[in-house]
Amino acid sequence: MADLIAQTRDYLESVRKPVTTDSIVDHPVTPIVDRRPIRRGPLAALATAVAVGLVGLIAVLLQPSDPEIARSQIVNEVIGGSQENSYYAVGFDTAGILCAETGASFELSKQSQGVCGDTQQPSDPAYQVVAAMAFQAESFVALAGWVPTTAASVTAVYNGEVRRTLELTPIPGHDLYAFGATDDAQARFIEIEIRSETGEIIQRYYPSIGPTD
Amino acid sequence: MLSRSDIGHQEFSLFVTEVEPRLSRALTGAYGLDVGEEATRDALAYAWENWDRVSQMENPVGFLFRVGQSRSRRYRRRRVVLPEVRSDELPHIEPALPKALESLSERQRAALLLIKVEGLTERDAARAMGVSRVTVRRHADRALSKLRDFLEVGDG
Repeated sequence: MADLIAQTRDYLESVRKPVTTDSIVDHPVTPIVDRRPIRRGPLAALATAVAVGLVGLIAVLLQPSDPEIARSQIVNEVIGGSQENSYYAVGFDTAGILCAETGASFELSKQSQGVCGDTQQPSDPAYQVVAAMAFQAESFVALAGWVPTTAASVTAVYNGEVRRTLELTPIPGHDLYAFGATDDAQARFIEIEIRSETGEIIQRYYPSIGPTD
Repeated sequence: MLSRSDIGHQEFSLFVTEVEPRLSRALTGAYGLDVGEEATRDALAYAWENWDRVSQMENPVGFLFRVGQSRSRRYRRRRVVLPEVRSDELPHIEPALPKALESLSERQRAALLLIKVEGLTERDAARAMGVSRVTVRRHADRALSKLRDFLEVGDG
C-alpha cells in the first residue's frame, strides 16, 4: 500500500505544473465579496421568481401531506445554490431534499446528506451544505448560499419583521449567494441581510431582484 | 510591483516553497493538470491577498485546498484526464496509475490525496473537503481499495 501511495505522489509530482511566487503575487484576484450574482434582465428575474415561488409552493404542498415530517424538522439543512450554475435547492432533513433548477425541473430526493440533483456528480461543490433556517410558524423560509469569508450571520426579514437570524460558519473561498422562499404561492419574497461579525450589513439581498447595497 | 513589504514577500516565498508542492499535487490529482494548476495559483493568490490571516494557520494546506476546490469551479470540466506516466523517467510507477486515479470519484481522489499522499489528518481533510471525518475516511479507504483492484495489486 505504501508503495502505491509513494507511486501516486511521485507520479503527481512528475506531471504537476509548478506555480512560482512571482506568478502568484502578480496574479489578479477577484475579491470574494464582490463576486456576487450578476444582475439579470427582467425575463431572467421573472424566471427566477417563478422558480423560487414554485419551490415554496411545492414545499407547502409537501408539508401537511406527510405527518411523518414534523414542522420542527423541516428545513434544518439547506443545500447551496449558485446563480453561476443556475441551481437552487431547499432541503428537508427528514424527508429528503427538494431540489429546484432554475426554469427547469424539480426533483425530490430522499437523500439526507446534502446531495441532490445530478447524481453523476455528487461531489459538485454547488451542493455544499452551507446554511439552514427553519420556521415553525405559519410559513417557513429557507436560505442557501455561498458564504463570503466576512459573513457571520444571515437574517431573514419578512414584511419588515426580523423572523430569524442564522449564525454562519464561513467557508473559505465561497461566493455569496442567498435566496428565500416562503409558503406563499404568490412568492412574496423575504429580504435577506448578510452581516459581518461586527453586525454590519455586508449586503442586503432581495431574492426576487438580486442584491442591493 | 509588490503590494506587501519585502519581509512579507520573503515569508510568503518560503511559505510557497513549503506548501505549493503539496497543494499542487492534491489539486492536480483531484481536478486534473490544467484545473489543478489554476486552482493552485488561485488558492495561493488568495493566501497572498490574505497573508496576515493565512500565515497564522496551523493547516494552510487544507484551508487552501478548500479555496482551490471552490475556485476550481470556474475551470472544471466534467471528466478529469490525467497524463500518461513517463515510463522512461519513472519506471517504478505503474503505467495504469493515471487511469486508476481517473476511475475514482472526485471526492475519493481528494480524500486519498489529502490523507494518504499529503498526510493531512482526517479532521483536517474533512474540513478541507467540507464533509465529516467518517465520510472522508470512507472515501479514502474506498479509493485505496479501488486503486488496488484496478491495478491488481495486493494490500501490502
